[in-house]
Amino acid sequence: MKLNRLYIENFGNLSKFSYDFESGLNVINKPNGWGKSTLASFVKAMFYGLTGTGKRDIVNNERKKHTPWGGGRFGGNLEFEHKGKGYRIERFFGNKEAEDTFVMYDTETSKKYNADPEVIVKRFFDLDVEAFERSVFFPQNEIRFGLNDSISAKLSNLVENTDDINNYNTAIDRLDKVRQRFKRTGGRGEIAELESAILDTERKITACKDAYRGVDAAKVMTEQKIVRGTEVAAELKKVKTEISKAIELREKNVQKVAMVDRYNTLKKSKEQAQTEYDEAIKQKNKIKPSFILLAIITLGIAALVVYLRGRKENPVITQLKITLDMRTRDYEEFCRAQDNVSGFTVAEATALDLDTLRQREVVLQKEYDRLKDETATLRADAQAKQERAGELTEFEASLEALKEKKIDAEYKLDNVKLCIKFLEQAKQNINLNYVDPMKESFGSYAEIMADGDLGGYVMDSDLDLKFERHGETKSVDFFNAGHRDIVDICVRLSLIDALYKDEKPFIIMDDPFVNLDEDKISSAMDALKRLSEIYQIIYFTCHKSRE
Amino acid sequence: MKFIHTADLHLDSKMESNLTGLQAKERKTELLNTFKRLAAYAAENNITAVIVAGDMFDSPRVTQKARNYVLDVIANTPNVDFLYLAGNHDEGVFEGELPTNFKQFGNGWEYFDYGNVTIAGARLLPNDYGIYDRLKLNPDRVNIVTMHGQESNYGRRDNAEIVNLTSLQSRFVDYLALGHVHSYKTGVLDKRGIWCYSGCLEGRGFDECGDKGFVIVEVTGKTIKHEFVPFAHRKLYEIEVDITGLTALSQVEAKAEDALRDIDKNSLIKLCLTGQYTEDTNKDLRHYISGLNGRFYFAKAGADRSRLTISVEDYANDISLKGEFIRLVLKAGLAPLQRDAVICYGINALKGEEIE
Repeated sequence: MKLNRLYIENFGNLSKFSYDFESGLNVINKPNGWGKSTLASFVKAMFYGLTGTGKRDIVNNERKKHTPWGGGRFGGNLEFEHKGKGYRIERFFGNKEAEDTFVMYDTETSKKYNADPEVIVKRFFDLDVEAFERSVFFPQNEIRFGLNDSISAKLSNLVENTDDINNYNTAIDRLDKVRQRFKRTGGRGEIAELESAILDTERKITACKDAYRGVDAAKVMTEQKIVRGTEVAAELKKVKTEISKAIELREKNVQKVAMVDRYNTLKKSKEQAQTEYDEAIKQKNKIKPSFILLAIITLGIAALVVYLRGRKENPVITQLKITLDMRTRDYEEFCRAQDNVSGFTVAEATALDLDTLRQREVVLQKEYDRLKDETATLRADAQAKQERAGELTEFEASLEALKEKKIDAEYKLDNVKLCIKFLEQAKQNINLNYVDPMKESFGSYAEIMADGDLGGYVMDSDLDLKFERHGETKSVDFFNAGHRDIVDICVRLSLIDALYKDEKPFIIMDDPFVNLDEDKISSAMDALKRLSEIYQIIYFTCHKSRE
Repeated sequence: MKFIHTADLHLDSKMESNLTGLQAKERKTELLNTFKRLAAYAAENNITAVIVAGDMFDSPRVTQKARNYVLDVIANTPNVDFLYLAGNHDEGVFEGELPTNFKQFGNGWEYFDYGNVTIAGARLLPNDYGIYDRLKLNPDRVNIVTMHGQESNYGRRDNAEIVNLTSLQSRFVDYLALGHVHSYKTGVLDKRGIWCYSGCLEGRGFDECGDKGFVIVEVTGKTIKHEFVPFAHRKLYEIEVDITGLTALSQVEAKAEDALRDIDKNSLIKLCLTGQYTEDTNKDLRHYISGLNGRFYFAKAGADRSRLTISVEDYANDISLKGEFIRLVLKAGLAPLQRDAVICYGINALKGEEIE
């Protein structure tokens, strides 16, 4: 790109000023305060407008800074060439951006380009204003080396457009820290913690489900026990009934035994009485046969008398008869009173049965009580299990929350990893596309500018620039201001090479050699002349010696 | 005559998973209490019967506490009948001794009569295609039928949970009291009747936002009317906050405050971001949401649906690490939300700001 001419209507302290540019070196030697910086700013403003409109301080608010001192139309026009075509930009500024006007023409065809100035300028010149400032525009006081600055920082800054040294490294560090928070070696990190919490909760859920199964099993067992208990209770009841029946029977038997005894006694008494009576009669009647015989022998009178005598009641026999009758009467009365004489057989087995029954009763009662206790225990146990199992819903909710968190953490981890990957890739690309070529061209420019004086530079992949002098490697800080200026120029030039691959831009230099020793200046100027064979250079100075 | 139609109570069930353990227990109690309030309402408002169209619980294994609570409530509302249709989750819960005003529908059609109203109900079983044919209703009465399942006109044969509306047409149904869908929804069944989902009584998670309650079904003579009554103790809200055009965190918070202005303090809130943001936007609402938990019953961040506005053109000529990084990410073809997240991480990392 080449500037052809400019016309300043009013800009800062410059008014109605026009200038025709040549290719190669254009030296503008004017005293300080003339407006060289203003001129440079004008060129920039034609392309990019005025920056810092919102800012209060004049230094950073270009609009305020360059508002014409004497009033009048604020702006002008600029004619330039780009890729073989000629253009003219006419730009005027108001109090605010909305009042600015911009027109761009094709100088051959007078065709107007209608679009947003930003769009046009970007489309044509491929770089935004920051890149322009960082490369093409070599302002005087900005970005000069301070005592503690390093070239690497400047190079990095120029490329990375950041303010921090090692910003890339810091960024990667922070990202890495985040990554490690999620996942660290040795199975640690947030994700691992979530996974173990998930496993833990799943175990708890399984335990709950097992508890449920336990509850079901307990229910079944309880049912069984209840069934058995009912059986036992029924049997117990039966046995108890048998026992009371047996007792009743025994009672009856006792009575019966008494009655049998009585019967036997009465019978025996009666029989005894009968026997005694019969015996007595027999005794009495024993006599009779001999007397009858006598009677037959003698005559009947004696027999008759004896017979009659025999018939007379014996008092003993009478008594016996009375006893017999009494006892017979008692006996028959007794028999009448009892309905069933034949039932007077004692069931001897009763005594035996009662004991067996009683033993059985004890056994059954024990079993029943045991079953009752076991059922109660089972029920209580089931209840406890059920309550614990009821926590299942809580655990399920926890599990869901944990799984959500884990998915979230994994997603974030994924993103951080991608970010690191792309950042590293970006760094590599920048290196490849800019830094490496810059290192190369820096070398060439150092040759041109310093005439071998800057020999022995060493630049590593982190853009750390060091120089070897007398066998020692020293940082750039060790060089004097003049040397550092040269280095600055070389850096910018190499950056321009990297940034503007097709069309070389013009370069505006605002007294770059102000710090150089006099003897160095001539070689610097020679270098400049050589440079101007490649670039159109607009070179400002205020001293003849640097012309 | 008035009836209440409710369903899907899911008492004793899982709550929104991010509640604290204490809050989850509290919500469970609140749900049980809402059922109690329902019974009280029924008693105070001369409701003849409450129809529970299924899913009173989540599973047949319900704690004794919950089961007994429900039965107690029912027993203490002796003048209201509770007609319970088991759903797909809670069959077999109610066995043994039950209050006399508690009635269950079984696997075949059962009918309960109240004045000139008949309430019929049956559980849907798999492979029982003939169930609809077995429904016998008297056209001269007012007929309420209750079922549990997903309404459909197609009646897929392999799913026991489809309520085939077509098969229920022209069977003299005046009101089809359905359960299974957790939101109030109603539609036309045929010339005579309508179908209705009462929805659940109270929301448990953020898939159940908005008004929840029961339906009052009022029968006057032969006409039947129904009305939804919101009854939940607490409501859940999913609140969208559009952050388009905002940059500072205070602006985003103010927008959220605005959206929350009319929300009851006793609610559960889920905040979702939508709209467009730029690389200068700070939308980290984590601290703000913690603060919300002190002012509302519960608040959490929902899915961040906001999108980063960034275009390739913006960075096409930015010769810098940031520019190169953004170009690479934009070209990589990542899923949109992931792309945004990765870019934000990178930009914030380079700026030295807090990541994520």
